[in-house]
Amino acid sequence: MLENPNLQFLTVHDLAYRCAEETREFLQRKTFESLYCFELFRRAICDRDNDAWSTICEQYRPIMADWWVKPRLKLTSGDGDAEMVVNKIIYRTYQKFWNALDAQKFRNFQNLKSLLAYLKMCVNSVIVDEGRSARPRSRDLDLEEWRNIIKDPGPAPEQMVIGYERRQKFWGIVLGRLHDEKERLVIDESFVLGLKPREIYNKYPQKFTDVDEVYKIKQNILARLRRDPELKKLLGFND
Amino acid sequence: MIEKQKNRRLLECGEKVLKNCASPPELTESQLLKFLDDEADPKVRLHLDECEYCAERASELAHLQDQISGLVHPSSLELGEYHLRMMPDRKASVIEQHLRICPQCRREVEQLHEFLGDLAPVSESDLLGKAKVLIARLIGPGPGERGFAPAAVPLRGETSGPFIFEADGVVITLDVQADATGKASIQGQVAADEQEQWIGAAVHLLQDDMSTLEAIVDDLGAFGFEQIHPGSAQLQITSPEGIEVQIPNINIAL
Repeated sequence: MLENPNLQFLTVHDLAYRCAEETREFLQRKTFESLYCFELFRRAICDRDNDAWSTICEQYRPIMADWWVKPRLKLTSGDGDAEMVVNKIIYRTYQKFWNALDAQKFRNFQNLKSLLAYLKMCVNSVIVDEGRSARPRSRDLDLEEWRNIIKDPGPAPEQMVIGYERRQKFWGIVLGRLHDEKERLVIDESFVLGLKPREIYNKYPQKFTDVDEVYKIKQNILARLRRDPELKKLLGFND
Repeated sequence: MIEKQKNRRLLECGEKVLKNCASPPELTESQLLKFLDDEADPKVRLHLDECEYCAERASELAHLQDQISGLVHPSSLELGEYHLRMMPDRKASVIEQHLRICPQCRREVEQLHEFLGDLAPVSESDLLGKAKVLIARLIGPGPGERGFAPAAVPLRGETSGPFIFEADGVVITLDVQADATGKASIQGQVAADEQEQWIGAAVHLLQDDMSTLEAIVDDLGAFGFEQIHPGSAQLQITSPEGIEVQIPNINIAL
């Protein structure tokens, strides 16, 4: 990406100045080059340069707030609580972005637009994570719920990026502990589709005698999984 | 009662040593699961109000279910990387398999697709992909009359008459007024041959400090902004069909 060999000799301060110029032109929709902003991102992610990272956080905060977070949450400007919610989401987004990327992954990005798409995806990811913990899952949260959420410190940064391998291992353990097709059905319907036992019974009345049977099966599976030493280790259970 | 007080004391001390139910027999796991599903009978609810031991078990059970749910579904970040095609094929195929059976994750990906579809602010080249982008020009009061620099159109509150812009038959009138706090307000009007096309259009005022004000064109073609900081700005009006008119370089002065 270093089309301009002089880029590497620029200080973060110089890059910040030129990136601000680029961003201004970006907002005014003039033709622009994204070399300087891209180089700032490269230094932040690949070199783990804290100054570059701080500059990026400052540079893109207004865009994230006004163009992405507020429209996504349907928030309007001027509400103090709404501003706090927006700030918290931006903070968590930056944490997620920082933890999710490294020099190897950075090779996926060919230009600033692809980086900003990833950053915007992280905004969505932070918002979705909160929606996932709501019931029913993934519904839109209202401002009152967001007010409560921002009081919560949230997950540790490293927990924001749950690995593919961890989930594959977990799923392997679970499938290995199931006794029959009924149990597999209850696990799939309960945890993949998020159905309650009553809904599972209504969906498959021919497979179960009554709702209580579904509860019993679910209870047995959970008790078995909770006792499982491998799963205890994976999920960090205490005895 | 003594036991309950002891439990509370232990909880307050941060120790997790609640060993006994306050009013035996303790609730079964099925009863606790029903409670978490909002299907428990009132006796169970009453028991849980009174018994910290069983309430703690219900809380642990909820946590376990959350953990399992969290590991069954791809994380939101993985769904995002899948959508952005940043995943190796092996992982992407696992996500695809999951998406085939999970309507919730499918919905999240669709939502993400929609959200990322409008990666604003966009670059000049992206504008070419829009349905139609029109750049409005000032048609009155004329530059000669006001003597402003060609690089930017200064909208001054004290000038007489509104400023009129035109783009492909769409006429935009802007009337700038200063308020008592040293800020400005703009009353705008959109007039076009196909006026109904512009009802409900989104109007964005992008200011130099990167803040954005938003308004909607009403049934009469009017829109307005208040509390505007003086300075350079850009106005965009986007019709519901995606036609965009830009007044790219204006300078709001009081």
